[in-house]
Amino acid sequence: MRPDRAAETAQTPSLSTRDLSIRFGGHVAVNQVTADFYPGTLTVIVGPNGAGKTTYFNLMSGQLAATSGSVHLGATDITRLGAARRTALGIGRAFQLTNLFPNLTVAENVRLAVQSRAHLGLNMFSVWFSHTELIERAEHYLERVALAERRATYVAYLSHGDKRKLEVAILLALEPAIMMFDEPTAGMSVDEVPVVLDLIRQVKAERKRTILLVEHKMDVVRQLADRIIVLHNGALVADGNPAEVMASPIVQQAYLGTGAPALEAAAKRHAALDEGARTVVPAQAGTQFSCCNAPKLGSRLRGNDDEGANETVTPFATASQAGMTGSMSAMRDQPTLSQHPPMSEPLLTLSGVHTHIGQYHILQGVDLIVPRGKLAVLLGRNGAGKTTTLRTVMGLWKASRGSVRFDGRDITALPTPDIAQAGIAYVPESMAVFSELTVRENLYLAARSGPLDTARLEWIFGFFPALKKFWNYPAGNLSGGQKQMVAIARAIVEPCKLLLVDEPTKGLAPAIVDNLIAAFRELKATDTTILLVEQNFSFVEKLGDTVCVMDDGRMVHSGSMRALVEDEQLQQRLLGLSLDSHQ
Amino acid sequence: MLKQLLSGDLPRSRVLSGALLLIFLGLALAPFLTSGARPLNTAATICVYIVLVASYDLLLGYTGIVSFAHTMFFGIGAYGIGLALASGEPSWRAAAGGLLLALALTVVLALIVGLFALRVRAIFYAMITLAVASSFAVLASQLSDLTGGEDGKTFSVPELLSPGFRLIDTEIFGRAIDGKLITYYIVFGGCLVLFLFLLRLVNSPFGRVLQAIRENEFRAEALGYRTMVYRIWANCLAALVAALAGALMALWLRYVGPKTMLGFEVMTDILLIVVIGGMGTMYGAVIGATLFIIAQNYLKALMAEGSSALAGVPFLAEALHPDRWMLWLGVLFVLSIYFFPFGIVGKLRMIRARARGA
Amino acid sequence: MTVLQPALAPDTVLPAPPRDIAPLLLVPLLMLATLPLVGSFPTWLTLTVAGLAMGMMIFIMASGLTLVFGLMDVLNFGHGAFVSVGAFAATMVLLPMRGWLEADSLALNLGVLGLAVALAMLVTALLGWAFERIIIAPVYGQHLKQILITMGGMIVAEQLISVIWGAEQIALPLPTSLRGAILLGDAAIEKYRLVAVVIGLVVFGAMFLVLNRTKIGLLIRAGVENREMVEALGYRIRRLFVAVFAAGSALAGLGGVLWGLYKETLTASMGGEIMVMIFIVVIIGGLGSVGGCFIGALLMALVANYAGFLAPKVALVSNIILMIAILLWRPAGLFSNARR
Repeated sequence: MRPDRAAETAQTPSLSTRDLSIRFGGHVAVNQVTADFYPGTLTVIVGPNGAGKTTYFNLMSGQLAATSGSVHLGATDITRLGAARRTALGIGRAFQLTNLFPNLTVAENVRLAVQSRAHLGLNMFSVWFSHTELIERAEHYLERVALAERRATYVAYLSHGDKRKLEVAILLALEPAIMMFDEPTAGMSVDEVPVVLDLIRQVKAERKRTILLVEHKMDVVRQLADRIIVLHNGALVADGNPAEVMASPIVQQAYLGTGAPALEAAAKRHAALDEGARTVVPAQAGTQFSCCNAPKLGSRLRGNDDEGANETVTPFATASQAGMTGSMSAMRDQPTLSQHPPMSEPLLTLSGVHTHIGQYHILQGVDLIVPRGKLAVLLGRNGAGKTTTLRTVMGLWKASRGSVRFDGRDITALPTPDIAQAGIAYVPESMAVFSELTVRENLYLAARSGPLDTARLEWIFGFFPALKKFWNYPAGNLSGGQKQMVAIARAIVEPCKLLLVDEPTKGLAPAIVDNLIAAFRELKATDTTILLVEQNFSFVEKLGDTVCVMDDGRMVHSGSMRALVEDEQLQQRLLGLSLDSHQ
Repeated sequence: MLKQLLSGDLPRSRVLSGALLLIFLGLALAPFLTSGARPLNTAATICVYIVLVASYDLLLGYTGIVSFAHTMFFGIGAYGIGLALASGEPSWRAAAGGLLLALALTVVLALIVGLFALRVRAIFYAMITLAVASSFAVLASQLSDLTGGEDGKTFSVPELLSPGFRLIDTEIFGRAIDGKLITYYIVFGGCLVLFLFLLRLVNSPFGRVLQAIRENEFRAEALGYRTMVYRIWANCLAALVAALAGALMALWLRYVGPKTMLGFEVMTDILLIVVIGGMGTMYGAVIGATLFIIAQNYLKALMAEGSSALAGVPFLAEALHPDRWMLWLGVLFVLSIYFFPFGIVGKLRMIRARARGA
Repeated sequence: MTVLQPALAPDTVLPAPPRDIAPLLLVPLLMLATLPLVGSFPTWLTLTVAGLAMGMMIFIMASGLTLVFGLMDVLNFGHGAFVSVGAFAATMVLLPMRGWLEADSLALNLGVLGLAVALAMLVTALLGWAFERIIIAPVYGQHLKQILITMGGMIVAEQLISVIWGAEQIALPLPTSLRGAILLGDAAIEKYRLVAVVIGLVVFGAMFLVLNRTKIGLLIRAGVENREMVEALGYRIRRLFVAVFAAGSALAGLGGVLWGLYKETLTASMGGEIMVMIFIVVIIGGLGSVGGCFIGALLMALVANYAGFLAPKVALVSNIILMIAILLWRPAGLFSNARR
């Protein structure tokens, strides 16, 4: 659907931001974003993790105050107004993390929104239920989201999907001119999603309100968007027609790190292969090999054009296969290539792991194997459950079902400090450097066994020279990229068996990314196993030995990195961004 | 009709309704059901404490604000009437003037404290109110020329209310229809009206917003309610009711003093009652205050007997000494927070709801 | 369609914010400012030492509270109980060993005081540990319940003191060699107050060193910011919590002993009475900041002493006025580094 450009420029935008920025200490979360939103349109805001989408929303709806720039509602400058005033003026917001009134009933939650719209909050004289018109309107909205039967249930006892629906009902009940939805279908089951999407579609069809939507699911985006805005590192990088935006190489780069250049190189490699040789290998899929007989077909056929990932060791899709009991059905759907049994027991094994966070059922049966001494990559779009997987391994969130085995021990129920002491180091997505402590103190804290090993330090400085420069600075003063360096250095200041890294390239300059690649290679050489979560495909394709792709809390693919790099169709299927969408 | 009077906030439990009815009748007919000064004093204290605790429940149970300044407003109301009647002629005009002054001071202080401290986090607010209230108490006891210092002040009341006054010469049910009786019914009536006012307040649209703020202030703000405004209103209203309760107490006792009206003991009593009775219920204040005051007056005698019975036993005798009744109250308090987080009223209502199969 | 180049994250470091020295100047400035107001140097000196002594004692009592809050996000309204218990526990050494106390020998006096303090700190540390396990652990994260339940705990503790030690006041005379005053020119400086100042400085110095120079201190400071990450680095921080709570309680006990000797009488409610001052100090200093607590305590005590001399009527509310003044300048206290 192409928005009518002429009509847009003639209208005044109902909501707009001008050079809107906010900074937290050294980190600029939203960087001079200028955008206009028009009534009757639905704009989707997309961007990789940490791009600043929710922060941008918070700046517009008033939960955060901008450091510079302005927000305008129509002709009024609302930058200095608080959230309550902005809501009263017509901005409605639904939140990403469920944020309701837990000890009040469903009906009451909605009625409060209706009451606010009716400006009856300060009425102290009448009894609340005498205002039947409010109760009826609330009932009306409950029916629209199909929650009417639950009207007397306390919110604390609602299922997750119902809570998300209630969130939408409350937003509708405010009857705002501007509706802002932040990942409305997050964590919802497949059958619940259409209800919410239909509602949004209905509202959009009325063509009266301005709708803003933050979303990750590309199919949803394609269905609903009149216009797409892409944020990356807090800045606006694209704004316009959905098909064009999604096809733009810059956007692809932002999301996946996959740009036209990378795919071209892969295509060249592809063309250089012997057609016949390619078919031999798939035919062997489905057969069992004993350890010694397995030929390394892959490497002989493809040649070593990349230093590093030149083995075809592929992880088994399920733990049972690692035990070589051979269940072939799992392999049939996956175009994984020759199964080569690993030489030793994998270092880390997850079997059927389920993790709940409150009522969000995030991991829905994850099976993952990380072979010793390799670099395993965990890919997947936002919200797929990659970070949750790492946190579950680390014991920060407890698995509700399933087991985690590390180095021969069952660590599923161990407390986090014990897991760390068992030899797992963790670099979280949020980096979690201690801001009040200096760089030196951050690293010193990580050296459990005593003083810092100077030789090791020098080695680390080799990759991250900036650390030496800022040795005595409080870590909180550093830029995002430098904090990332501190976080990684902290994890490797002592040798460990398994290194869990969550999106390390976020915010790093390309030169440092190269250093990071070198660092990981050297770590692998010292027998450190690495499990790496990333969105930046071009970073991991050079580095990873094995790759697992997650979606909706489950593993949907696992195989060798080489195979994934070669197979574009597989990439498109798994990683979601289509290059051909505009055709 | 009853529903309108109670603003739709029905007890929702047969045991509770029975208890409330009993208490209401007991307090209404206290002068005629009992004889002598002490039971009547207990009854009047119960009336006042019901309102005082209910006004605190408005803050704590319904809005979620922890404040230690509540006794300060109680004291201001009391001293307002007391000092006005103590200086010069004990006339109605003096009383009214004193009361109005006290209420004005209450509103001003509640506004200042609210505006200043409600911007900060809840814990800060609690600590600041503690500091303010204790300074006020110190001030009251130090400015002895004005306030009578540590000993407080006794005063006379207008003739209609004085014990010597007789409305009619005959006795009804053994009770003389004197000024004391009239004062009692003014206290009872005043407290009843104030309680029903609070009940209406918490069941109004305004009261529902207060509860939303308690549940999730962030969300209430996002819905369009300016939470600062609501909290300041709640603060001021609760303070005003507390001040009126203080005025009634002063009128009854014909005495004002820091210990009875401003001391930290009063604050702890309020906290104990509201937690044991049930936060966020209003009726919790009724049940809790009744139990507490009766226990305070009569249980101590029981403890004294127990203590003398155990005279030889080393620590137990001391533990049962009537002066140590706070010990048991403290234990009960801690236990209720663990096991009865909803208080007596909450528990009764839950039992009823479960019995109905909800 | 507009397409822009993605903005590269700038890789520069912002200059470190200027060290926050303004609060550090408050105490010296106050002392200097009141010198001309007081007029006579000897009087000023006496007042100042008295203020410093009282401030140190309050700091010792308050430091535990602010540290526990900063690290564990636990507000212990029952902190005063440890003050009282510490003082009363000390009597179990001081009263039987009266002889040492009354002997005119500094060594014996300090010896018995040392024993008393050791016992007091041991008892309060144990009590603190029990308090944390039984009363506080079930209500982690719920501030409202913490406030209520710790208050309840304090009521129970106070009453138990009366049960165990009797309901009357206990007189606690100062050790003989610490009675009286030294004369510096025209100024009379009470010996005991000097001792209190010295002890206070030692405690502050020790806390500062531990927090900033040792690994434990590092753990505490890191734990204040991000408990989870400290665990992910392999440290069992829950044990550290309990240890810090016990340490904070022991400090309150030490403060209680000093305060009891200062006032020379002990009552069961002495801890409760001093809670207001402790709270004011913690508010002024900023929740979680030991340095702020130190400055706040000195400020409060000095202001109270100076005001008592210069304007006695104002002295009644000098605490509140000081608190309001500081909060107007810095709404979260002098140093607010608690993230919550």
